[in-house]
Parts: sequence; structure tokens; C-alpha cells
Amino acid sequence: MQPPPRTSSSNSQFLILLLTLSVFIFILGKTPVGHIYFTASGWALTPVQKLVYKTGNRVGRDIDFWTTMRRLSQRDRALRLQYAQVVSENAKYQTLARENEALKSQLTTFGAGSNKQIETQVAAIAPDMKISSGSNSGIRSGDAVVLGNWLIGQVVIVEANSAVVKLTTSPDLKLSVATTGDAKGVSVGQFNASILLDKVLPSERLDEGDLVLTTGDNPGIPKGLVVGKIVATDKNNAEIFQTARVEPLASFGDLDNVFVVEGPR
Amino acid sequence: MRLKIIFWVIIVLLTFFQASFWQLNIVLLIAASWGLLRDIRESMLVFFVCGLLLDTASGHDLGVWTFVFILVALITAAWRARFVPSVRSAGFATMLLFYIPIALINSILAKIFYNFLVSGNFVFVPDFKSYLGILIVSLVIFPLIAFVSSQSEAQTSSGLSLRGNL
Repeated sequence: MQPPPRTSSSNSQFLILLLTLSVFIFILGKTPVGHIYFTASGWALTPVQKLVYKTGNRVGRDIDFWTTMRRLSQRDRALRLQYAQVVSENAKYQTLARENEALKSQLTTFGAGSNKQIETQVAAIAPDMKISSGSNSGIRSGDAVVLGNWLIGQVVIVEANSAVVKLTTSPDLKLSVATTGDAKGVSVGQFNASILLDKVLPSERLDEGDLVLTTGDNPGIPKGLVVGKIVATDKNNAEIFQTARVEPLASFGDLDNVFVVEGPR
Repeated sequence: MRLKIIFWVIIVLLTFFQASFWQLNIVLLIAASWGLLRDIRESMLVFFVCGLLLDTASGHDLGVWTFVFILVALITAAWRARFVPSVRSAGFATMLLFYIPIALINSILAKIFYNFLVSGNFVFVPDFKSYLGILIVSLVIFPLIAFVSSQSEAQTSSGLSLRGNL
């Protein structure tokens, strides 16, 4: 590669020529010739310039549009994040409100002088319920688990920070009960789905819709708790006892918080 | 030849754009690139024509930009005579380093000369934002012009070639 040639005398002459020419044009620009030049060039170039200007403006507007879009998109993303935060906050407050409501309801149901209740959360539901409090919270085996006046089950195994609850629908849980129509019997869970009311004398009256309540004969289970509602009766004269199918008041799967009623220590 | 035609079409378009929109003297930056890379006569002619085009596109004060561009061309030629022969063999990156200061000097002096020729006052207001713009645009323009220049030289096989360095 060759280095660029240094300014020779011919280059200098060329430079001087251009300089003189530019000075001449500059002086010419101050005379009416300049005006004529611009009139002529304006006539020829204005349409081109207009086109360039319009194109440039359009491009500018397009860039502006996309910049604005980008800004709006960023703002939208920020708002979505804020919305997600608000929703999660709201969910937290709703949970608190539910817990508060449940506590209030529990206090109203059992009254101030009743057995101490320990609020706990449901950790699992199948096949037995697992709650997230245990002996460290004062829970003992045999304690009743309730929600309001509804009996959920009975604590059977207690760990330090958890406990297993046999649900009223569990075949392992047998309770001495009485209906609101004064029929006495025994409730036994059926396949963790429903409850069988058994050992009811044929002379006693069973009606669909009657509530089944605890009698307080089972250790740790207070009297008057609702086990469920009779949905079907089965009276067979050939049998010694009549039976009824009882459904819990609600699905255990919907429970978030329950209360453990401390039995006598 | 084809590249040169494209080059001039782009120059004309940029001149119109500059006269309509831009504060940054992009035509001057292109002319300065050409001035460092090409034969001195050709670069002088480029400065002159660019100035005249800018005058025509601006639609007032005929000859002001032409005169300013020729003054700036002289400064570029002096810069080129002082530094370029020694750095040319060092390669493209070094050339770019020597281009950026002259691009800045040209832009600043062009503004001062223009203001003087139009209003009669020497006014110099430092505008660091526009200097940054010149720096960024220079980093784009110089490689482009270097590419066009080397391609053009390869085609015509005349004048100086920077191909080896690029």
C-alpha cells in the first residue's frame, strides 16, 4: 500500500482555485444572483426537499410511535407486576380475614369458659387428615378436631409439630351419637366418604335431614358436636337395628383451618 | 463508478435531511472521512461540492457553507499532512483514532465559522451532547466511508488504497 502523496504545488493550486471559487460564490450570494440561484434551485429542488422532509417526518413519527410503544409496554409490564403484588397481598388479607372470621365464629360457638382450642392448619387430607400443630402446641391424642360446632375427627397420632386426625368418615372412628330426633346410635365411617349411623333401635324415629350429634360418651369428644346430617334411612323389620346414611356438613377437602379442642388433662 | 454514484446519491439525500432536520453536521463528517482517506484533490472537491449542496438545500446565504467547508478542508489537509502519512501504515484502528479528533475539530470550527459569516460574531458555546453525538456518528461513518473508499479504489485501481490496512 502506498502512503498518500503530500500536497504538491498542483494540489496547492487546486486548493487556491477552490478557495477562490468559494469566496466568489459567497460574494455572489450577497448579490441578487444569490436570490436568482435560490429561486431557480428552489423551483427544481423544493419537490425533492418536500419529499425528503415528509419521509423524514414519517420516519420520525414511526420512531416516535415505536418508542412510545416500547415505553408503554414497559409501563404495562411494571403495572402487571404491581397488579400481581396487589393480588397476592389481597389473597393474604383474605386468608387473614377468613382466619379471623373462623376464630370469631369459634369463640361464639364455644364461649369463653369452654375448653381451650388450638387453631391449626390442614396440611393433608387423604387418607387421614394431617394438621400442622402437634404436642409442642399442646395437642394430645384423643382430642377432638372441630370447625365451629362441626366435628371433623379425633387426633390419633401426635408428633412434635404435626398430628394425624381420624375423620368422622374413617371406619376406624366410632362415636356414640344421638339425632336431633333423640334416636341414639353409633356412627362409623364408610370408606372415608360417608358415615353410617348404626345400632339405632327400631322403635326410635329416624328422619332424613336430622342432625347427628355427639353424646359426649367418647373420651375427648365434647357433647353436642354435629357429626353430620341424615341423608337416607334404612329400616328393615327383619333387622335388629335400623341404620341411616349420614353425610358430613361439608367436604373435608375444603378445609384450611381447624381447631383442636383440648380434652381433660 | 457505481459505488461513487451511490455515494453521491447518499450525500445528496443526507444534505437534504440535514437541511430539514438534523443539528449534527453529518455531511461534514462524511467529507472529513473522505478527506483523510482519499487523494487530496478528490477530497477537496468533495468538501466543495458538499458545501455547495448544503447551501442549495438550506435555501439561504449562498456560499456560506461552501466557504466554511473549504476552510475546514484546509484544516483537514493540514491534519492529514501532519499525521496521516505516519499512521496510515498502522492500520484502520489508528486511522479511526486520528479521524475522531479532526471530526470534532471540524464540527466545532464549522459552527464558529458559519456563525461568524452569517452574524458577524465569533460565538462559541460548548455543546457536549452534540460532541458525544459526533463521536458516536463518527464511529459509524468512518468505517463505512473506509469501506466505500477501499471498494472504489479496488475498482478503479487508482489513487491510494487502504485495503491492506483494512
